Amino acid sequence: MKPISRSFLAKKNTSLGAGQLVKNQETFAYRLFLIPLILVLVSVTLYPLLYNVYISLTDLQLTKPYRGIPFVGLENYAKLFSSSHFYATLTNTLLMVVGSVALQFLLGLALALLLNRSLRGFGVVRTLLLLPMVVTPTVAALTWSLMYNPSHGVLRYFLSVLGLQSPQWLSDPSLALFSIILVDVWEWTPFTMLLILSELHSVPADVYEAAQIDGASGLQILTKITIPLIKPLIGVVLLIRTMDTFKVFEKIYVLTGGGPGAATETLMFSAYRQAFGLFKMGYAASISLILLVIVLSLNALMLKATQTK
Amino acid sequence: MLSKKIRKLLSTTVIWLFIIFALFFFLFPIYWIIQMAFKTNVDISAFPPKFLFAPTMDNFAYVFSGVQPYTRYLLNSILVSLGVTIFTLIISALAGYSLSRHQTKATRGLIFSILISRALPAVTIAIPMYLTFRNIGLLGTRTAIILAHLSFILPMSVWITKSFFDHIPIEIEEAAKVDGADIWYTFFRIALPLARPGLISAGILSMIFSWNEFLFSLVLSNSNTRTMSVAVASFAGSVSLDWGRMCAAAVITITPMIIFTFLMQRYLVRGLLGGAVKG
Repeated sequence: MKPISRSFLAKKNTSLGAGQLVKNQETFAYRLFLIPLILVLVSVTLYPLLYNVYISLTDLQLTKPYRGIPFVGLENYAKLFSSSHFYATLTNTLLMVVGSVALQFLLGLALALLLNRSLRGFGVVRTLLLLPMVVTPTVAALTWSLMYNPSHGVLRYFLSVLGLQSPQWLSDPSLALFSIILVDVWEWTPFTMLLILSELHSVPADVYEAAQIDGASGLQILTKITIPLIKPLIGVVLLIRTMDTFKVFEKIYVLTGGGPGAATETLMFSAYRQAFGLFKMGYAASISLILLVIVLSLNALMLKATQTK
Repeated sequence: MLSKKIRKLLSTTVIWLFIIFALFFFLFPIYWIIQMAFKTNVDISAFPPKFLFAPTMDNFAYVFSGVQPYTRYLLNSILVSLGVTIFTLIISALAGYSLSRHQTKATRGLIFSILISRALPAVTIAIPMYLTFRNIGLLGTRTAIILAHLSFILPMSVWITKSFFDHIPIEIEEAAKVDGADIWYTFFRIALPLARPGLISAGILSMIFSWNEFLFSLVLSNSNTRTMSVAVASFAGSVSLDWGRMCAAAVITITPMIIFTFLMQRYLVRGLLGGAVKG
């Protein structure tokens, strides 16, 4: 073994010194391994985020380059909070999130409870159910826009078979947001279902057997045993789906473009339209930050709620 | 005895009816877009819709004919998603191992920021990125799209790889260290091979997410660097009635995703659901 010359190591006996050296080398390697991640995260997340905060305090408009980047302080936010359009987009966003997440969750739970038994051929069913979430979202939206087509869409045909009149799915302002929610429910219900199902599988069968012997009804078993047991997972599912639904974009872009009027314009779409349709970067940045704050605080709230229970 | 059997048969039948109805709802749209790609425009706009028709390959022939640069868009999608996947795998293998084996106050902060970044709306990052890339001349390049994709794919992938390293018993590595293996040997020869399923999951998910991504690809690309996801969406606003060709391009876009799903379903479920739950 090589003699160790550095004084702080030389005081200890040699084998301990070598062990310390290995430990130092390991710590060094562990830190080194993190450097690429930190570099990328700083440049593609942290820096853009801080830059975005700065932009939101300016009235940067790319259509007026001669004006430079005028600093306006909190003016964008003041403008936002006094604009009725902002509150309309906020309402649309909340309606979409609540409607879509509730439907995905209830449908997913119902399907998971139905499928929670050993069925032959379920492996194939599960694989097929993955398809809506892995299919390219713009393609999914395009498909639904063809199915919604009021003159030759297949939904019109299905309804006519049932003897029903087909509504104007996308051009009726009172229905357009629901039509977008329906596509989101189609895409993400399999996700909630498969997650709940995998949690149900982990509940031991004798729990149910014991309840049945004690004479519990199906509904009692569901509300008193199953739901409480999978509660933590339900929290996580709702959290993930809520965060993601705030960020729905492709469906609105392809299906309605925010219309008719502003009936399907959400905060996410509004920020996009202000930035890349009207090139009002400062105003758009402030909308996008409000969206971020809403998502993050809901995130924290729900996380806390699921952890305390 | 017999009545019990009948009841069981009946309940199984009802369950299967529900499953079939659910499958119909979730799968019919995918079937519908695929069959449209093989229809002529006349057949597509027929009402009532034609469920039986003479299939044509004309739409696909047009997409690959080069009249419009679909092959270029396809190449862009491939290059971008491969680039994202390669960067993601290298960075998250290193970082996932480090975060799993060596936790300090600082690294816990890093883990927290990874979780936070899942909540970031793409548009919040896209606005400053657009301006920065414009200033440094990267706007409209595939590099810009790859960098933007890393902002949301990398945290997810680090999380998945970390959780896979967490499940490898540390005793194996400790035994190797007792035998004189250093950290490099332990990582490259022992931990990395054991974490291969995790890396495959992370890689497949990275590729799928990058391929499917829309907002960044839309605002950071130009007509040369546009990906298939964007090309498909650009039909939406146009007044053209070329449904068949549009559907063919759409079907070409989703075919790799469908093949992935069937070939890699084991890894996909673990990544999609596992990576999500352990949050």
